[in-house]
Amino acid sequence: MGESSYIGQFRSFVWRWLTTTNHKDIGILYILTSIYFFLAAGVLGTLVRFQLARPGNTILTGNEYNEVVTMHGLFMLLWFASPLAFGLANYIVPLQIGARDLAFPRLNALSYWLYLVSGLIALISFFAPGGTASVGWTLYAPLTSDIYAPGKGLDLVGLAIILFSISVTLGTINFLVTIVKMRAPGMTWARLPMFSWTIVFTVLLMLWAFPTLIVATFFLFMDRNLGTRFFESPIGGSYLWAHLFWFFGHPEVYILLFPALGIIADVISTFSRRQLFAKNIIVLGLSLGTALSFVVWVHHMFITGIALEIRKIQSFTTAIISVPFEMTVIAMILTLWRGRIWYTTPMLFAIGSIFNFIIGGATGVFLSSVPLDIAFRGTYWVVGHFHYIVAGVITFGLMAGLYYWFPKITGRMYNETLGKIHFAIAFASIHALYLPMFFLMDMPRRIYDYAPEWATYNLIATVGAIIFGLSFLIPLVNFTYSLWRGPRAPDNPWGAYTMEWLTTSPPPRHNFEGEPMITGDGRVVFLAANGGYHHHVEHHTLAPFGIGLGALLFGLGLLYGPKLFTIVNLDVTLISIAGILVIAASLLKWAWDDVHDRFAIPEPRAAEDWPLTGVDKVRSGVWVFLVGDLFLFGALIGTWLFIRTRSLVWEPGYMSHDLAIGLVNTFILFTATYFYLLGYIFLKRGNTAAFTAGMSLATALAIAFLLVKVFEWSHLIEAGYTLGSGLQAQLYYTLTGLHGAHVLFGALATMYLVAKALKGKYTRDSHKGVVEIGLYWGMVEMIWVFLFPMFYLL
Amino acid sequence: MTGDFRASLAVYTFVWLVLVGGAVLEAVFILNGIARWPELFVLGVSGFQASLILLFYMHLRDEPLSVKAMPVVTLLLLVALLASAITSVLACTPYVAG
Amino acid sequence: MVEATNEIFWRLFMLYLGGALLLGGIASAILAYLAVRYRAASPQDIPPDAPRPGFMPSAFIRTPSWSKLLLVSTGVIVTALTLYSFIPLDYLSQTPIVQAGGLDGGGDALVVWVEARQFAWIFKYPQGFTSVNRLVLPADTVVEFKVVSVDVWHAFGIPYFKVKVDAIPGVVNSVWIKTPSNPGNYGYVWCYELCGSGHTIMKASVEVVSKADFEKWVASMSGGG
Repeated sequence: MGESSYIGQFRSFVWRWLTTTNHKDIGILYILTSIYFFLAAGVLGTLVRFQLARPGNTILTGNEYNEVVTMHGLFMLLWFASPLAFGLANYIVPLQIGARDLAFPRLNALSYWLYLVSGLIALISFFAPGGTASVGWTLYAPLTSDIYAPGKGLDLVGLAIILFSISVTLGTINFLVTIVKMRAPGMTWARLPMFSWTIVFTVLLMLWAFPTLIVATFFLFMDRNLGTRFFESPIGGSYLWAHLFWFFGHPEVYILLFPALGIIADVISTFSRRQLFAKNIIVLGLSLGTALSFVVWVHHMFITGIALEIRKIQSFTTAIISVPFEMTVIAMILTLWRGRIWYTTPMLFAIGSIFNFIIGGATGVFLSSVPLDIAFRGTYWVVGHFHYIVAGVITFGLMAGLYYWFPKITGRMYNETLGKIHFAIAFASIHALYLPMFFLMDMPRRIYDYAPEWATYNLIATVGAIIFGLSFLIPLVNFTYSLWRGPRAPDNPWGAYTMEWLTTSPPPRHNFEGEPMITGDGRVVFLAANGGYHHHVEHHTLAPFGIGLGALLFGLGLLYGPKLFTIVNLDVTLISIAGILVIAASLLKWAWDDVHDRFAIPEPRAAEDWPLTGVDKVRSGVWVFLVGDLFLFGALIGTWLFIRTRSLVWEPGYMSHDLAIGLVNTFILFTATYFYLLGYIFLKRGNTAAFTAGMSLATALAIAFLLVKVFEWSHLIEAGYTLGSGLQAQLYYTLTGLHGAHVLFGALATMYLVAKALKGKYTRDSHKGVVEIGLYWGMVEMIWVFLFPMFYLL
Repeated sequence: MTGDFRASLAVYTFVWLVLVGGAVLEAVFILNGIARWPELFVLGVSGFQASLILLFYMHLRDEPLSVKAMPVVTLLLLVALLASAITSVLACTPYVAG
Repeated sequence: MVEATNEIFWRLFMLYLGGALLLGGIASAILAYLAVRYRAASPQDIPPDAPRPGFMPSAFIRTPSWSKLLLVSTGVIVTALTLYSFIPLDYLSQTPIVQAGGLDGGGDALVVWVEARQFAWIFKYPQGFTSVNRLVLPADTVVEFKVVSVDVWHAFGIPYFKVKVDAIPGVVNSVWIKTPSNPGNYGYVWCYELCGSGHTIMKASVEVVSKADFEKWVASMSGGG
């Protein structure tokens, strides 16, 4: 009683949320944070519409207008849409597949903290001297160079994007391994709900899309701060950014769309009492769409002057890729046929989004035709098209998801009347807002003043925007009030059949009473949990939050803090160094917990796991990670090829590297991995001592590799060959530097193995981590196999 | 569950020899001008070495098809990206502001 | 007879618009019809073959064959339209047209260099003079624009003619128009790629004058310059 217990309750409340690794908690964190960014970005968008209400307005002009437009786009696309989808996915997907949590709970927590920190850094960028990024969310070079966009704002946004991309990549590994390997027995792919299916497609897209964004943003950061000129070089510098960015940018739009489509499909299925029409065909279609989405990006570059043949090919692939989505729309409409439709708020939003998809999709088809795209590129036709999709389909779909799963997550019912009012106002106003934009097909994007003949349409759009924006106050009030005072929700208020509805609202910490299983005829049963299977253990750890905090400090250090030293143009401050130390300490704590098996989760006895049968969770996750990392290096090596192909000879500053050092280091690296593998052979024969010796030798040789590299670099820098010495030099340092960082992490990881071996943790039959770190070394070696000839021979 | 991989001394040693020998071969052939198209030669030798690493060091030959598909898909996407990017620059007309 | 680029655009646009309104209209009508026709009488009004809580249906359900045809029908139409647009695309892509002997073998074309910079349009005429933010063109002439940028990425577009091309530093891009026979003001050149704080004010007036008036203008610009 009294003060101390309130403080105690508060402290344990904060502690619980800072250290949680439970997917339901993390889902709630994602949902709340993404709603904040939605409101922030919405305000920015409304400011734009205020400025455009009349020609000649002076509310927001010049660079400030560009800042608002840029951050409205970035916040909506990166910090609102996907995170809200993944918040819902975090909460719902394990329930839909009958699992207890995601495959890697601590990694999941880390994904969230990195996301939050990246958003905070993006917000802080508004306060940088010179303002935040003002170059459009597409960040075209060379406008983004430090000459044309000086100031730290853009650097902070770049850092935010990189941190966000890392968060996403970790989430990719988690969701892919979870959905493949942790489905309850009987939950075959054929029975998987559409929402979980679309999350699979989404993470596959993320796996191969985000590496090029990371590479491009990294190059941008280096160009602005370390004296390189990746994007500023004549002939091709701009093209390099455009290709890297749009190779990410196009799959990104499907990354945004797919989860919403999954929600809409689940909602329509539930409230029309029918399974999605032709579901198997639709799933097949969407998987083809996923694959094709990687070969259509040139349709964002139709007027850049690239070869006609390539434009024709990708115009054709763009037409083909529309097919799965047309099929999906038709299937969703036909699902209503012979159903019994119950019009709840989520159902209204779902049906409204189908109508919006018809308009948005059709106007997109115009853009697949090159002659039409020539006229529409950079105009409000494009703005209208994509807003119909992001606002009309994606946001409507996510709203449907929020309303649909609100009872499950909170245990309360929202007010249905308010929900329907929200839908009515939102649906009417969205057309007032975006339909006029198609009549503005001549008006350029991102301008703050315009020709008088465009005034009427702009005014209508602004009025629509105000109403549309205000309409979101309704769910804010509705949800907040219902959270505290809403009537208690039953387990299954909608009479739905997917598995999240077969448990309480909200579910218990362990999700289901008993182990879910689906029999051959589709019946869901819950086996009593006794003896054999583990009771639910939940792990709390501060390490993921620590890493996030360190990253935040690192970002803040770009703006503030006493300067310690400077690398080229980058001032490294005390706060940044403090951030790095906090990250290191957190990683050590994480590894320490692992060495002491604090977070061991036994594998479930049985699960559906095709097509990764026989591949355990950790190795599956490692392969997913490696593939992303390989693609990242591939993009870097591709940049080398790109620059070299157009230059044919290197610019002045080219230097032939010392072949002797190259060969020595090559030999060292190849032998290091050889010893690692020898150690593995010994371990399998039961000879732990020889195993430890092999690992130690591998570590020693890896460190030798690094020492040779340091020696080589110091001599090169002394000779005047630095990052600013021309394209070959900057590629050399970037590639071998990143490779060297990988070798360093590999050495540290192998040392960790040695530590565990010395503690007696490794036997012939139990040696978690050895194969996985061996895979990592294989990748490091593969990359060097190309880097060696690239820099020492060609 | 750590995957029962074929850990063969003979196989690992063979790959090691190909890696080290291949590096030397590349050096000799390119610096002495024996290879007429050095970039293609490197692609071939290094590509072969990388395949051996994947198949034998990383035990891809013992993994199911889904895992085998991962590096293949990665490579295909990379080729798609590079094909468009490189041809786009080769086809355009340069201009120097003057 | 060289076609006007805007006419090429409007013909293609109308074709797509017709297709979009037709297909979109049919889809919306079916959606509306089904949404009303199959309303439930109450939340408890459930069809006998509905999926029930406690049972997970399989996706391997029979799909009627007519629906498989329906599913791909829109895709076929869209793909056909896209392939059809290759015809006007080839026509519009005939650049550089001067080297090609002029469009349709017509011969004379006016080549104007367009230099995009933060934040103005500099037009360099073959007669050797420069016009800033003012594009004057003779009527009934094929004009080829060679577009370059001296600083960042811009995009040169004239709404009336429905042409546009990026101005990318280090690269020359090309686009052509056929000016109409009637002299007059034909709107503005706008910048269609965000290029900095002055992106909005990058405008150039587009005036089409008779061939005779154009000669006079050229003379005044060359002499006075």
